[in-house]
Amino acid sequence: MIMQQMFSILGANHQGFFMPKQASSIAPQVDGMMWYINIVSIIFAVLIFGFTAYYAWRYRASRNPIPEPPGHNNVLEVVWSIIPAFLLLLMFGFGFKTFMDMSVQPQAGITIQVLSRQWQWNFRYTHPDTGQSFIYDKLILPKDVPVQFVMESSDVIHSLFIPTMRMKKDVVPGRFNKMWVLPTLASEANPFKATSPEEDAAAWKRAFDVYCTEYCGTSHSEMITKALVLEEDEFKDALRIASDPFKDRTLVEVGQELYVSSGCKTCHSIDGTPGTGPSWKDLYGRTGKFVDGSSYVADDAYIHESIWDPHAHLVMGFGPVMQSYKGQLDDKRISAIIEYMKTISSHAPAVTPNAPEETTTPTVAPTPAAQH
Amino acid sequence: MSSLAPDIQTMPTPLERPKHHYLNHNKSIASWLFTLDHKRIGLLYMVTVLAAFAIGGIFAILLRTELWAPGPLFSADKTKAWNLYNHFFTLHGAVMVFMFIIPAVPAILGNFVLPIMLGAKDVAFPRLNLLSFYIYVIGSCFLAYNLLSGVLYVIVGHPVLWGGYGLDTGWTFYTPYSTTASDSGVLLATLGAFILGFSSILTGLNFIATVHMLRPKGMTWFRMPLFIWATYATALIQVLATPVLAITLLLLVAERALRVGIFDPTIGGDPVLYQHFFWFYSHPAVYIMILPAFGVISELITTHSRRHIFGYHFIALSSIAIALLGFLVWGHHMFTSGQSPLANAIFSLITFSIAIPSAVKVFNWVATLWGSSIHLRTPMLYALFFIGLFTIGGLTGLHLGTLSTDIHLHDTYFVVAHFHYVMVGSMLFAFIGAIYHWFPKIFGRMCNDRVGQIGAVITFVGFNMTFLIQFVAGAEGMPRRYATYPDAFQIYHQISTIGAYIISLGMFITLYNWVVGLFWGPIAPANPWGGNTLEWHTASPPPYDNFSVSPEVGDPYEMQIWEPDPNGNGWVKNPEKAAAAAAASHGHGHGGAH
Repeated sequence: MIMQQMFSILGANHQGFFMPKQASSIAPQVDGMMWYINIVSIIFAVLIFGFTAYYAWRYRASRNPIPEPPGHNNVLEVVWSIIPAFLLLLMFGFGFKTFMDMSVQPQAGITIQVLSRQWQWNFRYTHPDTGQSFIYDKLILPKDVPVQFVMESSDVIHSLFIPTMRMKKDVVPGRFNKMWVLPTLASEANPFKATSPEEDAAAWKRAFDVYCTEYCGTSHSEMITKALVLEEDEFKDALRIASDPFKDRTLVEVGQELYVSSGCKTCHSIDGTPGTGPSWKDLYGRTGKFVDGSSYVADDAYIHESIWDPHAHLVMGFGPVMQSYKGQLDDKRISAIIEYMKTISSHAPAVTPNAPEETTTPTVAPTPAAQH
Repeated sequence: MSSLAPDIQTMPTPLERPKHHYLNHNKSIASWLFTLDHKRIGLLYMVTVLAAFAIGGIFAILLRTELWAPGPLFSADKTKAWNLYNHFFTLHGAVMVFMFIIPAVPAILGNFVLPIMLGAKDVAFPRLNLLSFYIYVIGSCFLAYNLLSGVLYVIVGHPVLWGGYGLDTGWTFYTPYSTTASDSGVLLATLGAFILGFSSILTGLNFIATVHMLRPKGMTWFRMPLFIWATYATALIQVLATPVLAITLLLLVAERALRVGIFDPTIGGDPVLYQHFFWFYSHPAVYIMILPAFGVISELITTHSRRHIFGYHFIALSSIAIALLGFLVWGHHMFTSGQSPLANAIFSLITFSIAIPSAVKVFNWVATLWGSSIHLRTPMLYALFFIGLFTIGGLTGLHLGTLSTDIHLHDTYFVVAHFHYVMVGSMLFAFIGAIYHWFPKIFGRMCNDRVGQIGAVITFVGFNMTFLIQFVAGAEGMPRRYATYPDAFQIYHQISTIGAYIISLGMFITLYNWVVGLFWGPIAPANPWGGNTLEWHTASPPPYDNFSVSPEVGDPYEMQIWEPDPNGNGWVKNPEKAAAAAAASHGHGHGGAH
């Protein structure tokens, strides 16, 4: 329909009124509607402000001491009800039409599972060659291919919001809310082609922001990740790299990255600062007490249990807050985390097979070169 | 000012204040604490409601200060800083909504002005009125004590002596965060809100009965002042909607304390069901907040422009329309929740329908200004600012009612800006204007008009500075309830924070003006502004039983029977014009302001 096209054209030729870049197929229509509403609003606002200000000046008491007799005008009342009603009906109609387009995926594409928990996003992808699934903490999307998100939460309501794609949907525990996007704008840089940590970090910085936009507790404002849009062949390469974080890296490096990407950092510090969970500094290998008074040694088995079944035993002074990572962190990843923990614990054995020669306390720096 | 309305501030001789009025009727503390006088109850509310506003305002300043820069401010420990922020914004919202905005105009001005406007001695149920007040006090104590001591809890790390755990769920208490994940004092806070609800219900009940039963002879429905229409429509919502909130909060308590399984998905419940229950009340609640403000504006505009309201019937009936339609749109808060597209469409369509009666009101107010005789006194300034700010607030509701744009804008700063334009820019401005407008009647003294105008302008500038930029921030994607944010948004936040400080300056000026006026203001005449609603037909302050002589009921907007008092300030009735007007309306026999 012509009006439909007009909305798309309006949106495509402009950025809209202070809107982000348009990175999805639906963005031009949404921006077109924003334009329409803004224009209608500005017209009415100007009329109302204008008449009010003019009358306030023209009919001020010093200039118009005798007011006019009472007035009413039914015709005017009907006219200024009908005209806005018509404009509003258009607003509703096209808004609804676009919304239906947003609700129904036009053709088959790929599916990405969204795993949300306090306070970290993770996404489950399908390896393009093996068909195996793997988890990665940032969004990698193919340009011009519809992507369906099947979203689950392990605790409270979160909401996945990609401003450049004009899409948002709540992630409700107990449900599998779905939404789809068709990315149309490739990201400016590809971190999977970076050759240094700095290049990698800079490239991710230019990817699209992804926010949690349903208040979910303490670190709601840090539940942020990025969406990278790549041409289809680059997309597949990126998935291959992302699927194997262990390739060409030490366990400690992977463990250090998992500390960030799995969300451990939001509750566990690595420098002794108290937080929602015990600090990892000097944790590995130490002895301590649980809330029931019994004592423990923080060995591999204990750490494994505390990641897969965190409520089984609670360290004294902490509550049952942590959600299980079973299904998200497998044995190999937990081994990586343990190796990392050893590097920041004075109780750990002096030499371990995978630890680097010099054990310095690592900073929470961006990930090392090339692999992610 | 024109020569017709002499400058009130340069009055050479004080007028005579009535010897006996409701303030000195009985001066003991008990006579205040156990008063059945609606006027005194209105004043009791004024003290507590303004205290609530101060608390809510302080926490707004605190949270905006945290947002000056990304990263934590109030604590080096990030976790603590975010927790503090979450308590701050929850406290700000809960106190402002439950303890300030909902009672403000109905409980203070409704209580004081409504019976007098009806020519009555009091409300229908004076004891119930006092009970409403004490229920408000008890609920407020629970809520405020818990929320404030919760802030201490976060700072110190454990509850302080007899202290509560505060609230960090947002004023909306969404499940399952509030039932399962939050370690704050959800139960105690919910109890406070539950109790407060009954104050609202009983006040509404009282007003409905009063308007039905205590109108004087000759005041048919269409001869009532529009403030009463607005208060009546508000009372309908209060009585019908608030019980739903009460039940919802009980269910929340049951879920959290007893793990019943209504909202918890791990035991078979549905978290989104809570949202339906909650918004079924909370959307009508926002009309409880704004309808009385509409009523105030009708009075302010007519009185201070000395012109009969344009389109009386349309304004009166639009209040009822808004009240009723307001019950059918709650789902527009849930467009992204996973609700079906059909439900989304229905809620969106009905939401648009509310825009029409609201717009009609604004057009009629502006039309009233045509051909009028405007005195730009402080109350009028607030009313004119209201028109501008409500226009922006209402128009930005269109962006949010439209499905395609709401998906992008939901839960961003766009929503925050929208509701502050209607709740602060509109409702607060109407409230402050109303206090200025009825100040002479309530206290028998005049406030300084110049200081009032300055305060109004400063508040207006600060308000727009704070919230206009938030529309842009939200459209760019800035999410709500964030304690920190990407660097790119910082300029928006800094502008907002400066604006918030300017608003508080305006508030201090206003408070100062009221205190000075209260103790040292010039004596007020019975009718300082020349209005014709019945409260201006009695002394300032009114006698204990409101009228020493039964007032004659006429058209509430027949301002022309009043003319400036040649002997002093204020306006006096011209007997011939009054008689002519009375004869005209009795002759016609119909109720009805044109």
